[in-house]
Amino acid sequence: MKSLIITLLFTLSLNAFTKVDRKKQIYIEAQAHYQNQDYFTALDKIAQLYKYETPDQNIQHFIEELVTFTGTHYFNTFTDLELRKLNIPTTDLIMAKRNLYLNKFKYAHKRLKRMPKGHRLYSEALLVKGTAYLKEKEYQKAIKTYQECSDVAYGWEKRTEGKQQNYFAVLKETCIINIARIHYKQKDYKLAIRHYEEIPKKSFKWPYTLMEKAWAYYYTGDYNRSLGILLTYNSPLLESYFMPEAEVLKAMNYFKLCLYEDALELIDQYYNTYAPRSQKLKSLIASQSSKDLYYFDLMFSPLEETEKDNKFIRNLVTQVSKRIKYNLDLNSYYAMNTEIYRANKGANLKLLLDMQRDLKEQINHYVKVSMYNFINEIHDLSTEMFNLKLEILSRKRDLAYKNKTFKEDRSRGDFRNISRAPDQEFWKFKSEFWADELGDYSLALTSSCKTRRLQPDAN
Amino acid sequence: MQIKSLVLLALLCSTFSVYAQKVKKVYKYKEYEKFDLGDLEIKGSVIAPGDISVKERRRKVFERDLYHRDDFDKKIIKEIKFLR
Repeated sequence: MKSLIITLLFTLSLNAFTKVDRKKQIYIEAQAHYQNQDYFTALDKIAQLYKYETPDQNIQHFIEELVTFTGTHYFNTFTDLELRKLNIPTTDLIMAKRNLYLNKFKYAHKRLKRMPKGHRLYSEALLVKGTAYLKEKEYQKAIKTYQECSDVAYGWEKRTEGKQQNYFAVLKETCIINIARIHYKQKDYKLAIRHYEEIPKKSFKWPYTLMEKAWAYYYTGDYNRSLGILLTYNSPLLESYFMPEAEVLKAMNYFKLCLYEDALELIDQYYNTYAPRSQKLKSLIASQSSKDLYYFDLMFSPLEETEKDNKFIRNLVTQVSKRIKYNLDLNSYYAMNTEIYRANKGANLKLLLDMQRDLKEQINHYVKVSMYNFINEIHDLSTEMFNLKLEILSRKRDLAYKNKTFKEDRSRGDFRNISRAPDQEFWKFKSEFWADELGDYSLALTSSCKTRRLQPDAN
Repeated sequence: MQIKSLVLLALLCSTFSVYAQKVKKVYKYKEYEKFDLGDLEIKGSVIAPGDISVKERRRKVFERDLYHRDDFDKKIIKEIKFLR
């Protein structure tokens, strides 16, 4: 009996030793891959081992180090349980985001609490945290968190360069824009405008803020300023930023100024130009969708060629190519390429090719979703345009029934209609878009809303 | 004894009231009436409309729910998804 117990204990301890030995062996192998700059191979080797048990601190640091080279997309296919086991800031952030999308704010906060302040993803974690507060309607906490996010991101922006610097700049600006959005939501439009104006004109985010700022001016009743801002999209520099919502807002501004003919002209343009173009885009991409990785390849086709097929493709390709996600994924794609072509002796080429194929599919899917979102947006907003057209026709009919017309028929503008802040200067627009003036335009249209009774001989 | 006399008195009263209701009914027919339509006169003044006029009614104003932007919450989430 005694000998049986001893044998059993011996076998168990041997097993444990073997296990520890195996882990140590894998860690050494992963380290060797890391030294050879085979980061993806190293990450796969070590991360697969710790899917079901938490690694010690050394290994956690090692995985974090590897992720700085590979990007976080490797963990996209991990389940929540597997991510939790790894117990590193990167996976905490991924889990927090997943919980945010599912409106499980308590768990999102729980994950984000663990984020170390000095970590490079800390500012992104603050962005997620602020958004969780926003969704919980805790606006003051959200503003404070977004403010911290922009400060931390700014610190990193100064310390880094190249693409990393761009990433932190975008993060900083996103947090500032989100503060503006909270003020907007609370109907403090003037304060929202002040925050939108903090975004520099050279920023990638700036063209997108124009529309939101125009909405804020619309609700303050400054329709001329709102229209002026939206007309910035007509400048050649912003040709790629066609936004269907901006067209609706333009028409709404004309409507508020009772310039019904101008609003109707815009609505007709939407129906006669943009809607058919979007329909054409839909049929074009549908005809190509049988091709594997069509959307991925589209991102690398020369813009002059794609533009010939459909003008919107150029817009979409330009906008997608500037997004952080696309750039991070592309970085990982090129990093994999480097490892594949280097073909080190220990590199797991099969794994690398599979991973690259996965990543290509992810990018392909992402571009496809962006394109269909755009088409759907045009389609959805055409309903809003139709609604507005009906309202205009109804108002026109009412005027006719009352035997009335507008006091000033389509008056084309007067300087006294421009409202200016003390720090704003006035220059006339002479059909030229100057870069420093972009986004600061204002129209000078007179509201036609006062009516007069039609004289018997008047038309 | 007292109760018995009370009941008897009550019965006696009720028979009197039933007897008092029996009154003889007299039926009368409507007398013949004669109308002289030519002699009929209506008091007041007769007015005819000079032109066609319709009284203006207050029209119900229907307002459509036009496009509005209350917040950018969806955009905020979308932008987080655009990060990685």
